[in-house]
Amino acid sequence: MADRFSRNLGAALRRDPLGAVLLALVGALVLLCLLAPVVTRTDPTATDFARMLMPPSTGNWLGTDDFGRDVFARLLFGGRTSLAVAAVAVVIVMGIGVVVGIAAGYFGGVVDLVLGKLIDVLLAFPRLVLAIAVAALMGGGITSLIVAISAVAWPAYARILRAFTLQVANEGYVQAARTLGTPVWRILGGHVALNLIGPILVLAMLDLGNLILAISALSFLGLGVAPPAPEWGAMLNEGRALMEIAPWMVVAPGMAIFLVVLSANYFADIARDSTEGRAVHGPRDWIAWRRPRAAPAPPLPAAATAPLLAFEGVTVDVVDPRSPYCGRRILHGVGLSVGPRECVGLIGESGSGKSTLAMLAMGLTRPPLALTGGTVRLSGRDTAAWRWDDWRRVRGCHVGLVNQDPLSALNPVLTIGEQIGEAMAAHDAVPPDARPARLREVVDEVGLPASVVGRYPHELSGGMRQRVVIAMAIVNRPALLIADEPTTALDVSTQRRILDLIRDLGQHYGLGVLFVSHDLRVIARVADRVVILREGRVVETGATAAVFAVPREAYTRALMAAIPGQHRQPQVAEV
Amino acid sequence: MLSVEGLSKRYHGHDAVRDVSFRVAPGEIVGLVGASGSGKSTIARCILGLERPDAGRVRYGDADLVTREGRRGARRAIQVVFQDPRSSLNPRWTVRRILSEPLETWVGREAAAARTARLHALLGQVTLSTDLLARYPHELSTGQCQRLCVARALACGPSLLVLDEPLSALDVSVQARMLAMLRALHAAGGPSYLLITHDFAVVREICHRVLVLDSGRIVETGPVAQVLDRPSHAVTRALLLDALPLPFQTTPAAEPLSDHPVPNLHDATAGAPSP
Repeated sequence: MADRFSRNLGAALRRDPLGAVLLALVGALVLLCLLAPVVTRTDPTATDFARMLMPPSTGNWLGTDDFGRDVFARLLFGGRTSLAVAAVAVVIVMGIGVVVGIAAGYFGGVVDLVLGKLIDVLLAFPRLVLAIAVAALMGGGITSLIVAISAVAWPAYARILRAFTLQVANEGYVQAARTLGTPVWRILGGHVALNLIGPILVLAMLDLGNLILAISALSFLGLGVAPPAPEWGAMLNEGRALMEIAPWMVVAPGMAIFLVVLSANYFADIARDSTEGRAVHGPRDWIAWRRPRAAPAPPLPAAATAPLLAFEGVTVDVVDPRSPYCGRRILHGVGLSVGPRECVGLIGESGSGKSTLAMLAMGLTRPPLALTGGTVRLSGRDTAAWRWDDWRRVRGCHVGLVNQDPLSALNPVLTIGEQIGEAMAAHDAVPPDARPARLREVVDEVGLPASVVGRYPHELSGGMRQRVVIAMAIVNRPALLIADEPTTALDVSTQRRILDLIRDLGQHYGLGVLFVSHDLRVIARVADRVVILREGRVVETGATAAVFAVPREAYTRALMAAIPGQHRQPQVAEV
Repeated sequence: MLSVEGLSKRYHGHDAVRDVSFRVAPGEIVGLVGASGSGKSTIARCILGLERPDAGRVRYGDADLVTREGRRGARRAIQVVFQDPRSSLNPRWTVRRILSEPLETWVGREAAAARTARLHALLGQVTLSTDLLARYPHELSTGQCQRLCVARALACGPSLLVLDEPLSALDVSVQARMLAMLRALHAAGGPSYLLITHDFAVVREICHRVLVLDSGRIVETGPVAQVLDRPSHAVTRALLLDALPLPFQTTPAAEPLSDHPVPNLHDATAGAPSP
């Protein structure tokens, strides 16, 4: 973990020069503050009324303030206080927040109730008022400043981290650790806290700026660092009234706070990504979408003689240089076509490239993958020149998608009617006044009762949810349906019914279906033709019955032999 | 060994499990079959102590698993492999640390060489390469992750392994090799299995006895051959009918399982991580 973190962090900083520059600037600033007595011999509190409000010069690099004090010296000495107090406060705030948040989230019950109420009470008071009260009770000085700030800042973090803990506590590895008999403290440290490190880092850095400003507010009220001792927030306040005649008084501490907060946030992002094992991929190249179109927009012909979907020598590579698999070929010149009323079964194991192929047909290929050769045709049209918006008009209208997990495909806060309505509203295929009727019709087509329209996804069973996803995919009467492992998450009975539904819909409405699965039994149930994909290459193709009756390739035979249920456990005589 | 008597559990006012009783004997492989929502996983969670039953007793030997003390005593003996191998492994831990977790609890401190030897032995039991120790879960294929979950469960030295849909997340060919591995492990004196699944084909391949569950109740129970070939209950018959048939003719599988060649579709040690 630590090794990987430092390795990733080093790589991230080399890739991202801005991060390295910001980090270097802050490092320099912190170093200057630490070495303040060496760097400048000027006493930051020495007043000299003869040199009031002098602009920056060789004698006073950042000018002087209204007491004639050197702003540079005050900035460096002030930074020692500001940064030290903020750092200590962040550690205390996050420490309490993490402990309370994890305890409330993991143990639940009475612990959660008591801590939750405490947090509620503390959050009910305005933060600053509470801090002033605490600081006033404790008297002035830096210790009371830290205590006051920490005391009011932790509840918000405890609450956020409690929510994250609830999520992590339900992960399989935490459940597994409980059954392994791992002691609670080790589960909390090794599993829960370790996986909260991302949010913890980001929250801590986000709050650094707030804390510096809170320190200044308390200092301003005379409850923190007492004047004339320098402190960044206090310097901002002193300079505020004189901003027009002596802007340097505000600019110097302002820039220092800005630099620290900006760098902390920027660094937090890089650090968080570095704790992840996988490379984090940003969204695809937005600029590429705005390139001028090479071909006119592609409204597809309603009835064409060409196949609905045709892949010709399609090659897909990992092209992102940041990916450790850069240069790996995912698809090697794959050819495949789907005609009207035809169901083509695409069989392959994990990593065979079958889902990559399905995504290509939807224009959803994402970094680090890219189409590097061959053509993808929809109803005979070459899609190479299509841009985001062209694909958007095709998806859900001419091509529908049903994927594996019906729960994650549905929005939990929308009713079924609203979700299907959304699919219609995205396209003009169904005129607005016909939409209510089409909604009722499509719900019936997928075999759901009409009452389902007003219900939410969590109220439905897995099979019903998958029917809703199918309804969304076919509501605009697409010509082509892509089904990517649509029954893998379902039990045998539901699986059979969903397969029959897809087959019947295909025959009844003349849909072309590309059905992706690793299960030969499933493919045999729905597909007219099969294409067997292995490591990005088509190894065998033909009519379903023919391929299974006389498999030509050894790989096909191996896949057939792997189906469970062909061999029996010998029965033990006496149990 | 494991005995469940009159187990009941309600969630949000509906009965997930109703008055379920069964036993698992030492060395036995018992299948627990039912549709989604029939209460299979709830029974598993009650056995594992992740859920407190509303009524009934779950005993393991002399230990009462419903009480905290009883669970503590039996914790080591009952281990679990969940359906989704990816979420069952801490993404921030290496394979070495994942496998060491139960060893730290149950074996305690030991010399580095002894620990490594133990880890190698565990990986060997699930036919994983020892080169994987320094890897992270996302660098392994799903099949490798599931084997790792089995190895972690075995590290405690359990006498009962609860397998909660251990094959559902895997490809058919990976399933076949996983089944072969589980069978070999059992043949080599490994733990009893309580195998939760909705796939009768898997039950036929590995189980001795099967319990059929419907709406939280056990509707049929008996030896695999009897229940699968001569089902007496309508629910069992419906489930069997819904199971998809083999898409081709096979010769009746009369040969002993140990001779059944498991197709090695790809090198077992080569990872196939998604990019």
